[in-house]
Amino acid sequence: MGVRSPSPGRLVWLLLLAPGAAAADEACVLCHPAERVLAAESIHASEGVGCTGCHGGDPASRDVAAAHRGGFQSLADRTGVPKSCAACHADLEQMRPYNLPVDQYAMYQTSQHGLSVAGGDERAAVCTDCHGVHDIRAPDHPRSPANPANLGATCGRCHGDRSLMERYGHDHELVERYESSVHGRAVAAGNVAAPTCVNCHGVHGATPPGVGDVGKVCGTCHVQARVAFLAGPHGTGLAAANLPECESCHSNHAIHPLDDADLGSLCAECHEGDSEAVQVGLKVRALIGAASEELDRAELLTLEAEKVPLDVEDHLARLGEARTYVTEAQTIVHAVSVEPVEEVTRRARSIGQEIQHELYSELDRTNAHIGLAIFWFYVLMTLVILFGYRRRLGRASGRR
Amino acid sequence: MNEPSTIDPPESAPDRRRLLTWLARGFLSLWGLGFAWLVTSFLKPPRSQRSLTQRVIELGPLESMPVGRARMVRHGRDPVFVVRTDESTFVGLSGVCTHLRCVLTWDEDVSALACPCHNGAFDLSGNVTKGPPPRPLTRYRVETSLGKVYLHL
Amino acid sequence: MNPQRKGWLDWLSERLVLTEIFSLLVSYGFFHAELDSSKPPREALAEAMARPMPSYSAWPRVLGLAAVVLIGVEIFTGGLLTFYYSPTPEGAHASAATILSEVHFGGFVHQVHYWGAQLLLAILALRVLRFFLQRVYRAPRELVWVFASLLLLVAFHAELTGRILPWTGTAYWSGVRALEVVQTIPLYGGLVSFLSGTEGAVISELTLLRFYIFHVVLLPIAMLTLIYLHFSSIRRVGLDPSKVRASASDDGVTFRQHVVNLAILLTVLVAALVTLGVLAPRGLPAGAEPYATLPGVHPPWYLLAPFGFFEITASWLPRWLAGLVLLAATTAFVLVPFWARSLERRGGRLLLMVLAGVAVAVWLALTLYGTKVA
Ligand code: FES
Repeated sequence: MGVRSPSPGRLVWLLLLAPGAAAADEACVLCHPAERVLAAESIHASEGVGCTGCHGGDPASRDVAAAHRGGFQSLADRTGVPKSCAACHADLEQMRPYNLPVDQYAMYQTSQHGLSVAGGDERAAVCTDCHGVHDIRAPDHPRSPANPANLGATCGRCHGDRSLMERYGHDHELVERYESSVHGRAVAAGNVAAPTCVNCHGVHGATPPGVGDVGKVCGTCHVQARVAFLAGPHGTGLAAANLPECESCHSNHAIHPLDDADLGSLCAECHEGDSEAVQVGLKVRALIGAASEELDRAELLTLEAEKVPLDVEDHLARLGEARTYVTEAQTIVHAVSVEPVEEVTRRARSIGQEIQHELYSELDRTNAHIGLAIFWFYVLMTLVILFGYRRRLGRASGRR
Repeated sequence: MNEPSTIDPPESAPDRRRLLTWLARGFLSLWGLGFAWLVTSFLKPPRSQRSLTQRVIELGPLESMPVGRARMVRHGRDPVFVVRTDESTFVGLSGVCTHLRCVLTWDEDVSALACPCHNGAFDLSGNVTKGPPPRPLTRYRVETSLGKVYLHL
Repeated sequence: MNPQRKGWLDWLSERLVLTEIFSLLVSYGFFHAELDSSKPPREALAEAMARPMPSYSAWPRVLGLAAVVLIGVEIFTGGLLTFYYSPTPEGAHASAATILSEVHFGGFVHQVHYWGAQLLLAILALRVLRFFLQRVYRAPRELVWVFASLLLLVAFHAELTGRILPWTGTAYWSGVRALEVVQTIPLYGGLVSFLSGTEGAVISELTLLRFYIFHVVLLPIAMLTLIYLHFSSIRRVGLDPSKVRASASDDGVTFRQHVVNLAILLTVLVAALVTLGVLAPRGLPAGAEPYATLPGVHPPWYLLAPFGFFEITASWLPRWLAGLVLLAATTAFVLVPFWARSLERRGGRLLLMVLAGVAVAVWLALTLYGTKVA
């Protein structure tokens, strides 16, 4: 940064631009206007933390050299950043009013990022890479890079950078794959409950979960599936073979929901083509398939009946209940055993059959047709009587 | 309507003729009977409790709903849970999970609605407390009046 | 008949002007005889019953009577439906669904009402056709034709206003399509917009209510009035094109026979409606979503031809001009008696027939085209 003495006109303009600048920082702004503007938007600015809060120096001095004396740190060396932030953020006293945790620095130091930085690696991520440099915002601010909605892009800045990742021997397509996954798409669709990178890898202590731990990580959200999984033969079998739990079928990052139709073929990827295990898969697939087909048929019939219109409110409500059983079955499948799936799908199927049965009899128009036949008999009789009377009248009046 | 009122019975077999005439009259008057039946049964209001336009549902007397218990009300396609949280407060919550539309169940131990499909859970304000559901549950107003509980949809 | 015995008829006639009531029935074609008010009612009735009259229950004259009977059926079934129908955007579809699925015989009444309307339109159109072919528009029967054609037009309006009432998606959008057509007609389109509270072709809450009022009050009154005038003219001039005045004698039907014929006609019509309603019931599609255009909805069949016409001419004829053509065609149709005669005199009957044939062919072709583009 060159040393300039600002012209008075420029000074006025700058002051106008940053009307909220803390008085203590007024000298910094003379040479570092752009940084000041960014910092003014940060959460630090609203809490009264100015330039010197991180950079030190003497803000009162108008002399360039004097201003950058006295504990000044440029932080141009990125490895110094975490420590600088920790000066406040690891201090319980200072963080208490904000109810912020103070263990991030400690956790960071255990993370892969932290370890690399400690090893002198300038390229590893430091606080500012994820939280912003001067315009640090709270993570729930929509424009914060640490906001769940932006996190994919934030991590992707480095982890999607091919040349950078190659240096570490990392895959640079993970973020891309994540974004195509069911999780990534849910986040993109605005579901704040859907997991981002940090939900599996940890926040400040970001580290890839160990192979044996992936299942536990998934299980924090997919509780039911994991319980079923552990109870079934896969739970013990995969652990014994030291194979990953969920990943084996669902892969990682690009996690896609499996189609019911995949069940048999998926089993055959590990098991012999005609083994009992594949049979179980096929059986389960058949059960779920049959149940959802039954429900599809029932739904079609319901829609048809609705147009008549019959009162199908109750049928639709029961259909919703039956669909719940099928969704449940798709979770229970993780126990890779036929019986529990059979139980729930049987319930779903019987509801579907019941609905169809009821609607068929309601839609059946035989009754209406019998009524119509009786009606026509009556009409014909009436016509016979009326024509007979007419003929007699004609005879009586002596004509025709 | 137009009974053959003035048929003159011919001389031959007058009794049979008269009988036939009366039969014909009786037969024709059945039209009137059927007609009256149609109109009266049409005008009789259907006693369906679940008319589509109905926006307020009576759930029965206060005593029928013990404190801390939930009741699943089926109206329309989506069920609604009505929970009596204390003597005077009722909560109405949609009974359909906002994740994949599974039907929720009432977990009495923790006073929450739980989803059997992916372990989603909702508190009594309808907020998601656990699991994948992206949105809170829709809330419905429940009112008590003259010792009866009403659900407003 | 015993003149000494005082029956309920005599009792009533001492307190009511029975002949007045009787002549009301006469006005709508149920009877064609005046009562002699100077005689005691029983005697007058008996005399009227035995009086010979033109047979209005023989083909093709029966069409007029059938139309009246059908209007009666429509008024009756429509009256029943008003007991449950609610003309608000929120309530319309739901109440229609209630009628169809919950009210006893609700579906039945609805089906009969629907099929009655279709049959009525068909019969009124058939009647106009037969009047044209048998030249029942020549002097002095100009007004017979004018009222018959107006009756047909009013019936179209009644059908159109009625079809929107269930507020289903198809009803709504077919109503919108219809309004698009009607509103291009100069003057008349503006009048319709004004009366139905529509701006552009947007059907609002107000429109539904107004259509309802038109459908259940104003249009039925208009139809009854037109029938009254129409039949009044027929009573004066008769329907026999070879005669100048109505004559009572030669068909050789007594009034009593006519009443029986009427009963037979009523039975046959009701049987037809019930059969149609049971075998070809109209379902109730989903409710209207005014903000989501439903694809593939046609305007009502009788407006397909104008719709097709607008589509064909869209590129080279300004819309108002196309509307003007439509207005001119409709006016020419109503006023056939006043120009057809001179045309016949100049070019002969053949020319007129060819003209009518071309008109019908164009109509059919446009309808076909309208079905395709809609
Ligand atoms: S459907 Fe309720 S949690 Fe998935």
